[in-house]
Amino acid sequence: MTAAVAPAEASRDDAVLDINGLVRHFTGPAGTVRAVDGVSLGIGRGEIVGLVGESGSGKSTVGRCAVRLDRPTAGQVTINGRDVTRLSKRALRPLRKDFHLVFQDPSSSLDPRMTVGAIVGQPLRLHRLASGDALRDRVAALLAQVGLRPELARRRPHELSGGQRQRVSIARALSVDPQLLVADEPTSALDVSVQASVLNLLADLQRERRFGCLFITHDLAAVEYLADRIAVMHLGQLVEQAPAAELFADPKHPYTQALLSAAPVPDPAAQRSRARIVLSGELPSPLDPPSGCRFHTRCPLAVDRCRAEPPVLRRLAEGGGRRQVSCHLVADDGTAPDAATI
Amino acid sequence: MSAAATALPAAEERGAPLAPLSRLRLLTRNKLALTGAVAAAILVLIAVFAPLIAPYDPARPDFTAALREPGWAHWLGTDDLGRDQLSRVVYGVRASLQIGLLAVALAFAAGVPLGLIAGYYGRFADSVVSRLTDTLLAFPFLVLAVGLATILGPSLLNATIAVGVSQIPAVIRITRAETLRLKHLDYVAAAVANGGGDGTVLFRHILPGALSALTVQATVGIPTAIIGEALLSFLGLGVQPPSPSLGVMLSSAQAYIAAAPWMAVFPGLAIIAATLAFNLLGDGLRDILDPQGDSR
Repeated sequence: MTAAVAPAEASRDDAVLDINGLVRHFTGPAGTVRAVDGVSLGIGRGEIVGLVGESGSGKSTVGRCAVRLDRPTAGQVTINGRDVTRLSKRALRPLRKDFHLVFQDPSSSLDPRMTVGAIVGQPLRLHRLASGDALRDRVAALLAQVGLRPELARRRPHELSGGQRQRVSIARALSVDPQLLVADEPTSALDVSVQASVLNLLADLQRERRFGCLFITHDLAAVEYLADRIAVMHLGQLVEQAPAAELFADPKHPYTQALLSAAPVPDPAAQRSRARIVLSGELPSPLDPPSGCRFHTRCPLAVDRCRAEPPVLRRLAEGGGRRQVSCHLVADDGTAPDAATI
Repeated sequence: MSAAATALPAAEERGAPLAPLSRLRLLTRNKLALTGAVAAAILVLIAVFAPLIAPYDPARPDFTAALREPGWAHWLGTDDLGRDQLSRVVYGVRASLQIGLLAVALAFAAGVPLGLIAGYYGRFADSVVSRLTDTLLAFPFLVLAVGLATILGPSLLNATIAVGVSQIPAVIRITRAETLRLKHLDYVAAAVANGGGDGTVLFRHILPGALSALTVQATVGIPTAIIGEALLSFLGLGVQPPSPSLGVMLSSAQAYIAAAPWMAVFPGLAIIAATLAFNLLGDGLRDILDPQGDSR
């Protein structure tokens, strides 16, 4: 196993989440799936970090490990300066009011037998933060904050629309006022018409409450709109990490370039004129990742070195050292080949 | 447009459990299930009001009226000791349902916790419980019942225990399978993220989710238990004469099968009716509660 471990971005004191060398392997009858293979990522207080990548790249597994719904195989997860990697279920319980997550599909993440009020109030009840009338008032206030009428507290999830359900899920996650929120593709199960309003709601709530947020998505437009910093994931590893504006303006890694070129741009003229990098083939199997750089099988620029030697995620000197790239072809001063010109 | 409008609510219903009222409506739409429910309700009423319904004392012999054919005085005839068959069938149904319910309750009391533990904790707990289940399944019902009767002595209570124990493996398996299915659902993960412990997860989220499957199992478990009781009583391992039981009645009818066939026919019919009623109800409930079923 060749995990490319690099120091986390936010190993500062104000980091709400610090993931270091995270590895999560799933061992099954077909072999070991290397879902996450050496990911390091930090989130500062009040910072939104977008984690993007294809389906199957391991983004959700990183999210689940970050809130310890899954147990990392190796590596370290630190929340608010406290190492939670090896804590038992019981020891984690009181800490869970500091971090929460919003699941992808609100129709499966809300217990169909519970009322909306009971769902939103459950974290408050379990952490003994409110009960009785106080709990009811808190739930009503939370529902109002996510733009739902307080009367909906008596309804059950199946009586709500998809967008309303996701708002309930957000209200539940924020009920205990966590400092870290993991949002795992919170809009991809929703109708396009309500995606924007749910994104706006998340953005507004984040501005108000200043929680750190790991925003997992494959919707590049959403992440450009929301995130301060973006980490690009490919086959269980990070290939590039940079402030959002810089990443979108000048992607260095060939995979990032391909990913950005696949997203449509709103201007039809620009959309027609720009070069589209089409990757050939499927995402390789995480059961048996390619040797060397895991992207070399699909990379239009791959050279011999890429097939043999796995690149390490390293900080570039260019741009004040805010960018990390894992590619042999990107020079330290930031000069990178353009995959579109090949 | 109208097609889309009618398709939408259906798609909404499939994922979510139905409100109690619409479930009831589905039950009335399913004719066989409704038949089963009505028949089961009648049987339960007969059992509850047995002392009011039975025209005679079911255990008091009347040697002047032995082996009477069905007639006005004794609707279902009398047996070799002159006891009223109708009264005995009514009390027999009562005993059968009592044993059926008690046995199923026993099987659930033991099987549900074990199934939850095996399914939720997995690994070692699962291995232990699964081996226990396999061991119980390896004993044929009769061997188990005869063994228990030999150890504990033949009685109504011990027959109930034997019937109940024989149903534990099925309850464990269903509970375990449901737990395995439910524990990977997002809403269970959400309960953990909410700060819920094992108790919250198991009893507030997983057990309620498994309830429909368990309801079906309980309903089909009752007829199995009724037949089990009849079998044990027939063999003299269950209800002891002179207490009325459908199995005991069948047993004593053997000697008179040619002379007094009604002695065998009516308790037999009662067993068939009770079994059929609960099986129909159980199958109907399965169709209604299982969204994957293709009978809808």
